[in-house]
Amino acid sequence: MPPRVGSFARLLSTRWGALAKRAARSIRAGTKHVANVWNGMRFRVPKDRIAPLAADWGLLVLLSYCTYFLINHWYRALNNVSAVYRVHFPNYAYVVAVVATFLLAVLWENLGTSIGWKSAGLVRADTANRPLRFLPRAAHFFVDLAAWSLTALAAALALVPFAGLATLLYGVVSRAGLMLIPTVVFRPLGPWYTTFGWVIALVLALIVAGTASWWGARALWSWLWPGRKAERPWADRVVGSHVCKASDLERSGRPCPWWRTSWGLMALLLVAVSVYVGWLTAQVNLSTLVHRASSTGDYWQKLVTPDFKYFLAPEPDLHDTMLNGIIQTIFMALLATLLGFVLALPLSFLGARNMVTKNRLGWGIYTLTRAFFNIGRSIEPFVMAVLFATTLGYGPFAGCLALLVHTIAALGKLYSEQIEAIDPGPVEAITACGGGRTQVLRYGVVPQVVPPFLAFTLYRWDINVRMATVIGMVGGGGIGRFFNYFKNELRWHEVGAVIVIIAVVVWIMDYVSGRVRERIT
Amino acid sequence: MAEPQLVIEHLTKVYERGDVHALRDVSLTVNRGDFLVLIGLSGSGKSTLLRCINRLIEPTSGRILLDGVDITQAKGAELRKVRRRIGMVFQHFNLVKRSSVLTNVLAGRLGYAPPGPTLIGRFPREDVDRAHQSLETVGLLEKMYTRADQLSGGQQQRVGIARALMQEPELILADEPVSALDPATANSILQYLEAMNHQHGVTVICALHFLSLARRYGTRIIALKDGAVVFEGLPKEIDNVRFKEIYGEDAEEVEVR
Repeated sequence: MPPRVGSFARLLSTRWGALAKRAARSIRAGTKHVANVWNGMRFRVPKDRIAPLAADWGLLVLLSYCTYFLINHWYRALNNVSAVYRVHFPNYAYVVAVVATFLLAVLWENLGTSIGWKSAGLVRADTANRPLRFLPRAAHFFVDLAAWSLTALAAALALVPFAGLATLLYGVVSRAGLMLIPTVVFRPLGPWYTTFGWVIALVLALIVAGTASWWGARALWSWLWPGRKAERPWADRVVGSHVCKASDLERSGRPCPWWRTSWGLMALLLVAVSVYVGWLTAQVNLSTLVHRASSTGDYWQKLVTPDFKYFLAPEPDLHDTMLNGIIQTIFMALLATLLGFVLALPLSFLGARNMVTKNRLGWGIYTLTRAFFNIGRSIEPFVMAVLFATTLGYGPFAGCLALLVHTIAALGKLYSEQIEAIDPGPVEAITACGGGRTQVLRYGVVPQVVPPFLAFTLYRWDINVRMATVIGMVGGGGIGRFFNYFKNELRWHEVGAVIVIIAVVVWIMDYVSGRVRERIT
Repeated sequence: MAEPQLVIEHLTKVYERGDVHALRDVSLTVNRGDFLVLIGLSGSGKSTLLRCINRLIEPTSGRILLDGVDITQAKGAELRKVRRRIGMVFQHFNLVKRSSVLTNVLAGRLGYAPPGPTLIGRFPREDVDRAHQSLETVGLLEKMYTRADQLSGGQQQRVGIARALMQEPELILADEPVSALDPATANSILQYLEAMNHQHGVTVICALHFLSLARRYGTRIIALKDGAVVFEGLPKEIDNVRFKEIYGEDAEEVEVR
């Protein structure tokens, strides 16, 4: 006999059972986004609902940081004190700021079209698919505010056991002679950082409680009213509105010009404020530019009369010619590019979504490879060269190694994106002919990617030559060594010569590789 | 004559993403030497059915028997042996555009050729001779060293057919082979398939959009609608009523000669 409609057993057996099944299926299929349906529209929750909110929140946090910065700046300017003085805020102000910006984001999304919603292409419309008028919007905001306040309350309540558990653990662990890591890390850093820890905990709790109450409300609704879909938020139900794509909207009349919409105004404000704060942070000083420029005529004069004496003759202190230096730079770049090509090639196949097998191991390999590419690319070769030069000793080897690591990561990323963009047709055809994995790669994939790979590699050599000149300045060898030496000795004629050599070589490389790439693709 | 070659039993395919039922309990039998035409609207499951037969798509449930052997469980080398017996011709030709015509045709032999040498582009002498023969059959021998993307649509599809010929197939799956071609070229392409069917007794399963072509070339017609078989029979049995059943009330037949 089936459980009674609306009974707790049914709730467990159907709703949660279905959810668990769906979650298991989506994990198996390797899909991260589960589509939800509101009013017949398919929404991918992380992309369509959470990302816009996070973006709006982030923008408001940026704005509040700028406000904080400007308050400090004006305080110093008015009281004529140095930059070490700060306006003192109580610790809880940071927590208040996090919560307040979140609520402001909700307000913004309700009353106008926020930047997040604009970029996701979402609008809130009434039942006739017309944009919502102001009063329903305001009503919607108050209901939404209530819902979010309840969520925040739930988050705060969720924090209580967290805190209790943490205190308990701290007691147990410290009595056992061990310390809880966050306390150890945060406490010596002072009260501000302890607050920061609580802010992180609060955000986490908001996310946990928000998700839990979301699913909880869904389950409760379908328990109370079986058969009815519980997919519309409460605020939408009360006002009779729904979220839809802007393209589905029935518009009448002239659309509002962008600079009168809330996202347009906010964008203008953000640009203006960040330019102002950036100006202050970068310590731009136009008067310096003017009065220093007049006193450096001698320096410029020396720079523009380059001295090529040591182009062919060895420089007595460096025991080398500039010609050798630039040749060393070019070969460093060449070696890094060629080795990078050889090493990035196999890695790129592991980092291409359509090449790795679609099981969990495949996803692991894919994620690891992509992580390596992203991390390797985000550390500048300049920084790596400093590290390698310190450990391996100054010279072209360290510079070359730094270039190599960056090249592998950068080429690997470009290659795997190229592999992901291939036409799947030939792969399908070779598979249908009975070709094995390696044969599919050789006949279906490789012919499609060889020309773009060559083009990328040439482009990379070009970039590497430019980077190699810079790397020499931090101990990576090549022409950069000359630049660094002459600069320190204030021999501006020779510095001018080095600059000319670098510019000519880079220009030639750029031109040649550009022409060759044109022919390839 | 009526010897069953391919038997499909209760084939079902559900795409996990979005719960799309592409095939619903499809059962059919294809006899050796048939020229079977699949018709139906776009999205009715024709491509999915064809791709299930050579396992480019994994069916959710059901069995496919090729010469009495269930191929839905085949794996690895066994699956490759099954695939090489089944030639396939595609709507968008699926040639490697940057490779030469000869390389594209030779690729059809990958199921037979020794795997090691093929990786450096070496094929046995007899395979190369066979490639010349197949290209001669489709009348493209002089284009052998041309890059595939420099050929016209009809010529590319002929290369596709030559590639399928290389497999010495017992069965050819053609997924809307003429949808991307003009009517005159379409007829010539289908005549190549018909010639293989008549002269070598190769079974052909061909998805087509135009009923006039289906009537002219097909010995049997199967119509799919929303993933289920709605009609099975001879070409002449499709009258106006059946046509509306398959394509919907608003459809009008378009003639292609």
